[in-house]
Amino acid sequence: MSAASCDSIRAALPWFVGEELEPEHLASVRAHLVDCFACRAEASALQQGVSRLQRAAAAPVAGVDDAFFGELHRTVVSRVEAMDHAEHRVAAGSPGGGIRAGLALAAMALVGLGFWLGRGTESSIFDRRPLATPVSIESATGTSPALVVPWSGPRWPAMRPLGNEADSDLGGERAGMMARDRLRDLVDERMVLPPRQAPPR
Amino acid sequence: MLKANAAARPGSFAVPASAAVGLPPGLPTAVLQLAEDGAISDAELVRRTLAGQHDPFSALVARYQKRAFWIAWHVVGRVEDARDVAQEAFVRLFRSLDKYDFTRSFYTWFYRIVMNLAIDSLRKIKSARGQCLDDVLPTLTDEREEAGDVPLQRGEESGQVWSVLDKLDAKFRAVLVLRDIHGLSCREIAPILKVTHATARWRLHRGRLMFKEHWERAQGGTEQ
Repeated sequence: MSAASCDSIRAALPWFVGEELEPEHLASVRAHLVDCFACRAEASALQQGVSRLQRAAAAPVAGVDDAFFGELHRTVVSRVEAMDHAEHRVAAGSPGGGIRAGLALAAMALVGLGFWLGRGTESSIFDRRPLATPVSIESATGTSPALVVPWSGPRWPAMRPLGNEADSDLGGERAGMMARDRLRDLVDERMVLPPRQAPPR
Repeated sequence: MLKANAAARPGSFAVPASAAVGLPPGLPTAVLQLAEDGAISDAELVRRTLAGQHDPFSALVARYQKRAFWIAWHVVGRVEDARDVAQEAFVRLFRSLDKYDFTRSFYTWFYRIVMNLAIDSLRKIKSARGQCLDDVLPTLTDEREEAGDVPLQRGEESGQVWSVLDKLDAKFRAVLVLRDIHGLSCREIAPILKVTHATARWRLHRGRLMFKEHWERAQGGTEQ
């Protein structure tokens, strides 16, 4: 019997004693144990370990009998029923609880939305240029009392509504919301142009 | 299907004959009928409990309380702690019944709850032992070592077996308890311990070898 084969057989012994070995290995282990005394002793020691464990588990335990389990059953069932009743009481005791919870959630969502809109520095709705002093050149020189309504939108050009600067050739101070109005006018003008006529044949 | 589910429940295992698998006494008739009826599967009892009935859950407790207690006892080694683990396992089971996957076997799911609680309890006991050994030792004796009416020699052997098992890490101990005492296969043990089948087999292999080595060392020590 070679040492290598003994090693491989011993590696399989913990499964052999628990009858967990695959059938294809079972026959070879059995054949080896017939001839090898050392491996047989090892298998016997492992088998005794399993048997000892089972015997110890089967030994009676003081105080654990049918009465013990009857009491355990009553305790568990009463505990679970009390828990269930308490949950039902909570649910039944607050008929408008669902609506209140919904309103609270909606309020939280609104607050969250406000924070989301105000997040960061550049896109903050709170980060607006304060209204300028309503004074124009005319009012400063006293020629006209007309007030100038300043741009009260985002402070930086990058914060203006996108798309206008690229589409419009107006740019500059007219970019932004004002330019969008201008674009709309341009489109309207185009719409009133006479339809394109077909080229003469 | 129902018969198959009922039959899939693990049967006999190595526990004291006086308290083997069976229903506890004093059950109400309706609960007793539900618990004894093999045609009513565990999944069906769960379904009825979820529908708002109490008796089906009581029947589930009757079916599984002994298994839950013995698994816990074989892991933690104290009747009081094992009873607490079994109780807590049923409470957790009731709270999480709506999460039960009806395509899986009930007992695997329930055993996982029990085993997790038992291992947690064992770790608490061990850390208490480690923290303040002198103070808590009198209250933390392993009751498995004091088996009452057993013949002396067999009782001694039981005590030695449990003290050897105590030396094993919880993961090896859990596999040995489930396989060698409760008779579950490695395929059943794997989902209970949330490990792969190969890991369960490896732990069983290592656990048996370690148990043998610790036993031989303990015997060598007593002989000297």
